Amino acid sequence: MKIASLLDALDPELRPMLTLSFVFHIALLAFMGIYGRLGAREDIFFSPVYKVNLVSIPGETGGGGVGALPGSGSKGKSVGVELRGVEREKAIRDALKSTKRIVEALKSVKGGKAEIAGKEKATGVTKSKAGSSTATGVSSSSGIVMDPAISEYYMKVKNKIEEVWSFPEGLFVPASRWELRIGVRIDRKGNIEESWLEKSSGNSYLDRSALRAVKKASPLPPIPPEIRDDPLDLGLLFTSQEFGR
Amino acid sequence: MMPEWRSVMKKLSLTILAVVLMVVVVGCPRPPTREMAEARSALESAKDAGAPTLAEEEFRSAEQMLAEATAYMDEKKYDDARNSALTSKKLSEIARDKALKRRAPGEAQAGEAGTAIGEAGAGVIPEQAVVTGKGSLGEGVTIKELEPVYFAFDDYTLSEEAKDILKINAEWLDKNKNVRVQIEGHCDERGSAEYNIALGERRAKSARNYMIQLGIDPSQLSTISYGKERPKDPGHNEEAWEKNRRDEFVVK
Amino acid sequence: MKYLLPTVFILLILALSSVLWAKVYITIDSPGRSRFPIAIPDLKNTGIIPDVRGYSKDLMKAVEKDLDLCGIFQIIDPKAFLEKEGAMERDKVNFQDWSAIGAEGLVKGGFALKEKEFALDLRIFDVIQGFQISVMSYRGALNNLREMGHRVANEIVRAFTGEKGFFGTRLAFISSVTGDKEIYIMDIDGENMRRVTFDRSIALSPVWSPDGTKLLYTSYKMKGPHLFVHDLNTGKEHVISQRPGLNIGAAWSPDGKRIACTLSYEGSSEIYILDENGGNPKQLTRTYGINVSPSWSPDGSRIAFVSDRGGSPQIYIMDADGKGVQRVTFSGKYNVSPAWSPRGDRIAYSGMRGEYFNIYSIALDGSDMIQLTEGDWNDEYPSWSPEGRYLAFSSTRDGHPELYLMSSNGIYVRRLTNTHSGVLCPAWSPK
Repeated sequence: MKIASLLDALDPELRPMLTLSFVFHIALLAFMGIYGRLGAREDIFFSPVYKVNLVSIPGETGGGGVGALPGSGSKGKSVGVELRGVEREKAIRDALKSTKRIVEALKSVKGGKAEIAGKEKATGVTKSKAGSSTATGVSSSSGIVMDPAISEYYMKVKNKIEEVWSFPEGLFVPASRWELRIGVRIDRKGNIEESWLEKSSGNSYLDRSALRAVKKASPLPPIPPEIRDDPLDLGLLFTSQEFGR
Repeated sequence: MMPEWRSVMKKLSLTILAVVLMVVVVGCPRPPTREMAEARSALESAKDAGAPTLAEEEFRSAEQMLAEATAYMDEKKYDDARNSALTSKKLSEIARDKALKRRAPGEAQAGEAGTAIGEAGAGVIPEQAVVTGKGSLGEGVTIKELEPVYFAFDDYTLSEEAKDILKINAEWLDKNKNVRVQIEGHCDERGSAEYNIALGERRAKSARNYMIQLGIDPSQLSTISYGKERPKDPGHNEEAWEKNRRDEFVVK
Repeated sequence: MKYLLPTVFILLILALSSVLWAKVYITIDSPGRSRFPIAIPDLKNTGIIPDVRGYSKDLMKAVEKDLDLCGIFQIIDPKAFLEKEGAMERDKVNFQDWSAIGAEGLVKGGFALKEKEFALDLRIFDVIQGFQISVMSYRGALNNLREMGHRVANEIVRAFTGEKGFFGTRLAFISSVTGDKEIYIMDIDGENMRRVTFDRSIALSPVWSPDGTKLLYTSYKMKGPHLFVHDLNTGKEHVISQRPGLNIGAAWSPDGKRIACTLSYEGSSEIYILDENGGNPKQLTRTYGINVSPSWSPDGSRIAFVSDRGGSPQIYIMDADGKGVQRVTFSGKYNVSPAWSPRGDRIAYSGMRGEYFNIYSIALDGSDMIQLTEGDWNDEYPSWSPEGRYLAFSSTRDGHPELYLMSSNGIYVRRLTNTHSGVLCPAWSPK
C-alpha cells in the first residue's frame, strides 16, 4: 500500500520507468546470483568482463594509465556518490558507454561472448594522478576506476606470476597472436587452492607453460582487506606480446 | 583603380598559362610513335629480304627488340620503348643487309666464324692498344681506348656522359672491325647477388643496344654480367660504389 | 528532457551493479624468462660395462649444447642439484627437490654399453605439474653418439613445445675463404664443415633438393652464369642450364620435379620453370624487366619472386603457372631475397631502409610487416628452418658477413660461424 501511494505521489510519467527499472533490476540480480556463482569454472560470464591492464608508474611505457580519483577513500564503489562537477560528468559518460556494452553483452551472452566488453585495451582516462605514493594505475575497459589498494594487489599478482613465467616467445607459435585464460582460487593468505585452464590457446604446450607459471607463483601476496571475497576467484589472461619493433 | 587591376590579372594569368603550356610541351614524355612505326617497317623490309631464313639470328633479335618496345609502350615506359625501337630498327637493317648479301650469287658465306649474337669469338687485339687491366674471369684485357661507363644506383639507363663515352668507344670499334668486345655489366655491393646479376646484364645490354644504334656490328659485341661479384673498388662507401656501377669493355 | 535524469540515474545503477558481479582478468604478457629451466643429471649406468671413456657424459654434453643453441632451454648447473641418488621411475622422483632449484623440466636416464653399441633409456618430466611427459629408448653406434645426441635433443624440444627441434639439419652456404666463392656445408651447430665445390670460380645461391641429397647452384665456371646440380652422395655434378645470358637463382619445387629459375636467353630476365633435368622451359613472367629469386610455397602451388616492374625491386607472388601476380611489399624502395616460410603463411625477405639491409617478415597479403633485425649493418639472405620456427641469415654486424640463427620473431639471435672470410647465402637443409 505504501509503495502504491508512493508511486501515485510521483510524476505519472516516471511511473512506468521506475516499475520497469525495478523489475529489471530484480531479474538481473537474480539471474546473476544464480549463474554468476555457478559459472566459476565455465567460460560464460553474464557480466562485462574486465580486462585489467596494469600499468606501472607514469613515465614508463605501457597501456593507458589511470590514476585513482582524489578523495575516493577506501571504498571501491565510490563512483557515483563522491564525484563532483567535471568528474561526475566524465563518470556519467563512461557509465553510459559501459551500459551500451552491458546491453550488448547481455544480448550475446551465449558462448561467453560477454567478453566483448572486456576486449578493448585500457582507455587512458583522467587528468589527475593518484594521491597515493605507489601511483600504480589500473584501468578497466569500462572506464570505471578502481581503488588503488586493489589495483596495487593486482599489480603484485601480475608481477609475481610474470617473474616465474619462463616462455620462449616466438619459438612457440611463430609471429602470431594468441591468448589463454586460467582461473585461480586464492585463499586470504595468498595460497593458490586451485588453478585450472578456462580457455586454451589452441596449443596445449603453451597452456602448460602458463599453468606451470601459475603453480610456481604460489603463494601470491595476501588478499588486501579491500577485497572481501574468501576465497577469491581471479582470472589470468595470458597473451602474446605485441611486437614492438 | 579597378581596370588597372583587371589588366594586371589578365597579364598574370596569360603568363601562367604560357608557362604551363611550355612545361607541358617540354616535360610531358612524348610517346615514340614515330620510332615505333619506323622499327615496324624496318622489320617488314627485313622480312621481305628473306631475313627470317637468311639472317635468322639478327632477325630474331630485331623481332625481340620490337616486342620489348611494344611492351614498354603499353606500360607507358616511353624512354625504354624509344630505345628498344631504335635498336630494333638498326637490327632489322643489319638483318636485311645480311640477307641481301647472302642472296647474291657467289657469295656463299657458310656462316660467320660461329659468332651468334650474344657470343663473341676470339678477335684480334690491335698492337697499338694500351692494355689497362684484365677481364673479370682472367681472360681478355681492358684497354685505354675503350673506357668504362658508369651508372646511378639501381639504374641501367645511360646518362649523357655515358652516351658520349660510348660514342667514342663506338668510333674506335668501327675503325677496328676485327676486334671483339665483351661488355661486362657490374653493380655495387648492395642488394642480393641475384638481383645484381640481372641488373648487371641490363647495364651491359643498355650499352650494347646503344652502340648498335650507332651502327656497330652486333657480332662485335657480346655481353655478360658479373653482378656485384667483381668490384673494382672493395670499399664500403659511396666513393667505391660509384666506381663499381659500371660496364667494362673487355677485348678478347 | 524530463526523462534524462531518471534514465541517467537508472543507467548509473546498472553500471554499478555490473561492478559487483564482474570477474577480473589480469593480463599476463611479459614472461620473466625466455628459456625453460631444465635439469639434466648424469645418466645412470644400468649395464655391466663401466663407462671409463665417459661416453655418457659426452652424449649429455652434446645434448646440452644443442638445447642451449636453440634458445629454448636454460641448463641448470649440476652443482645446484639437491637430489642425490637418481631415481628414474615416475613415482620415485622427488619433484620438490627439482622445483626447489627452479627447474621446470627434468631429464633422467640410464644407459648401458655393449660391444660397439650404446643403449639409452630416457624420461622427460614436467617438474611443476609433476608428471612424466615422455619416455624413449635409443640404440646407436658408439662412434656416432653425436647423432643420438641430436635425436635426444629434438625429443626434449618436442616434449616442451609440441614440435621437434632442428638438430641434425645442415646449412649449405658460400664462403670466400680460399679467395674464390665456393660452396660449403656444415651441421647447424657449426660442426662438420666441409667444402663441396672446387671450381675456383664464382659460385652462388646454393639450394637443397627436397630429399636433401643434392645442391642446385649458380656458377661462372663455364664462363657465364649457369646452373649446376651437385650430388652430395656421389660428388658428381652436371649442368642443368647453360643457355645464353643468365641462368641464375634456382629453386626446387617441393615435389622435386620442377626447377624455377631466372633465364634471359629470350631477351630479358624472366622466371622460367624447367623440369628436373633443365629442359622443357616454361616462361612465367613477361615484363621485359628484372624478375629474379623465385621461392616456392610449401605446397608447390605458388612462387614468390623479386620484380622491378613497379619501378624498384619488390616482392611479388604468383601461381605456379604465372597467373595471378600480386605485389606483397609496398614499404621500402628495395626488397629482395624472398623466402617462403615452410608453414606457408609468411614470407621473410631482406629490405633496405636508408643505407642498410635488414630482415623482415610479412603476411602473404602484404599486411603485418614485422622488422626482425635492426641495426646499421647488412642482414641478408634469410633461409627458414624446415619447421619454420627459425631463420638463418648472413649478417655483417660483427664486421664481415657471418651466418646467424634467429627465432622467427627476431628476438633470439645466435651466431653460427666464425670464419673471418665472408660467408653468405645460407640454405637450410630440408631434413
